[in-house]
Parts: sequence; C-alpha cells; structure tokens
Amino acid sequence: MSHYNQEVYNKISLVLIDALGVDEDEICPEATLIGDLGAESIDFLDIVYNLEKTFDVPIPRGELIPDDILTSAEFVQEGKVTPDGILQLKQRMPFADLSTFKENPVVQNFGNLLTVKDMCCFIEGKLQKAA
Amino acid sequence: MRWFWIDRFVEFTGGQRAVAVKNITLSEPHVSDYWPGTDYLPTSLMIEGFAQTGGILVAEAGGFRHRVVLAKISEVRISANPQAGQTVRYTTVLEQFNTDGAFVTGTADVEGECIGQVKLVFAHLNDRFDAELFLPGQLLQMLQQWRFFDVAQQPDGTPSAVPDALLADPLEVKTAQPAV
Repeated sequence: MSHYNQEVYNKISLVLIDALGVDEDEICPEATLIGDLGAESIDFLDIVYNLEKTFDVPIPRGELIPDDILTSAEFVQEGKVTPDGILQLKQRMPFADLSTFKENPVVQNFGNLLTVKDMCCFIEGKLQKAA
Repeated sequence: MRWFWIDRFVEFTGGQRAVAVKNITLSEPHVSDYWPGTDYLPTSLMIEGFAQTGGILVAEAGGFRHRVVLAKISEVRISANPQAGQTVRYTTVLEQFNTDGAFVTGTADVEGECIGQVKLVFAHLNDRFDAELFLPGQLLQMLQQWRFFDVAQQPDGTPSAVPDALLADPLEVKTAQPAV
C-alpha cells in the first residue's frame, strides 16, 4: 500500500509528537519510528494506547508488531527470521514493506522497520475493517 | 527507611480509580531544604506520589502478580507545589491495562484546587529482568501502612481482601549469619 490518508497521517503525527516528544518537522512518511524518531520499546505502549483513543479502534497486542513471531523458536533461527517466518510476517503485517528486511532478516533490525507511512496504512486497514 | 510518597489511601476502586493523600510537613528535609525559604514539595516528589498511587492501582488490577514499574511520564503539568502544612490529594484513573503494562491518568489537588495533571505509562517487567522489586510481605506491609484495606473495594462494592499473591511468601527478616 503506497498511499495514505492525509487526515489519518495528521492524527498519527500528533500522537507521535505527544508520545515521542519530537517536533512536527521531524515527522515524514518515510521516518522510522525507532531509528529516526527515537522510539523505545516502552513508547509503543503509549503510542498504541493513544492510537486506540484517537481512532476508536482496538489494537490487540502483537497486531502492530507481531513479537510472538519474532521470539518464536520455530520462525527465528540463529538470530534471523526464517523464510516461513517472513511469510507469517507478511500475512500479519500487510501494511509494512518487508522487502529490505527480507534481504537480511536479522531480528534485531526488525525494530527499525516500521515507518510513519506503515502506521497510516495499519490504521487505515483497521478503520476499513471497523466500518 | 522506605520510599513513601503518599501517607494513605482514602479511596480505592479495583481496576478503576485510586485516591491517596500526603501531608506536607516542615520536618521533611526535602520540603524545608530543597529551596530554603519556600518550603514546598518538589515537583519530582509529586510525581513519585502520582506513581505510587497509580502504581498500586495497576498492581491491584493484575492481582499483585506482576512486577510493576513506572516506565514513562508521558505528560506532566504542575501549576503549583503543595506547601508545608497542606495536604495534597492524588487521584489516579486506570485508563488501560494489558499484559505489557498500563496507562494511568492523574490529577493532584490541594483544598479542592487542581495543581497538577499527569499521564503515566507503567510496565510489567518480563522474564528478561530477574530483579525482585519487593518481597510479597514487604508490599503487604506497605499496603497496610497506607490503610489500603480500610478503603479498597471492588467495583461492585465488595471490600478487597488481602490478595493471595501477597500471602504466598511471608515477610522474611534477613539476619546476618555468623562467619564460619
């Protein structure tokens, strides 16, 4: 999914500004939450809670970041996600572009995958399902 | 010495809301010495008060089985600090609770005037962290000192009983062992 709704983007930007203490001009569609915006793992609790409140949609644990796959002995071997694991991630994360991660699927790099645009696509998918 | 930043609970509805008070006195060095001549509770210690009130709210929602830590102060607005001789009242509301942690909002007031607001994120420590925060008996003792069980009730009005998780391992008093 390459397009995103501007209204959704604006609301997500506000959530990220509040949760991460970043300036508005630091946020762009391609910005990664961890690498560019400095999110730490605990920030995701804050972000998910505020996304739920802002968009009035439930976001179950593991839906935005499927950490059950990333910590599974079945799908992670020697620190890398297996081809089956990549397939699982694709199914669970249709909103994210996994092409770069797939080239070197080291689990530690996964955290830096999610972009602001991915968040928009994720929320749009949730809103469409809820409609 | 314990890290007490509230004196007692005055309202507690499990899984929903907790209210605690702290009396500010000149005999506390952090009040009389922090900024000589002003005699107020520093903002950082007000946040500790919010964290203890909200932290117990989160711990109770999980049956006192999780190790709850303050993970993030998402927002804090303090318009005034309570002075010596005043009582600050912390009201916290559990906005969300899940297996990872919880989100709590809070207000502080003195004599009915709101002087502070916070949004706090609490985390449940997972297995990667093997540190013990409290012996269950210690936490139970703190709850008793805070008069928690005098006011704690469930949403249906049933008084809250001492949770099993805190009875599982009674307070151990560690004594020095003689050298052999």
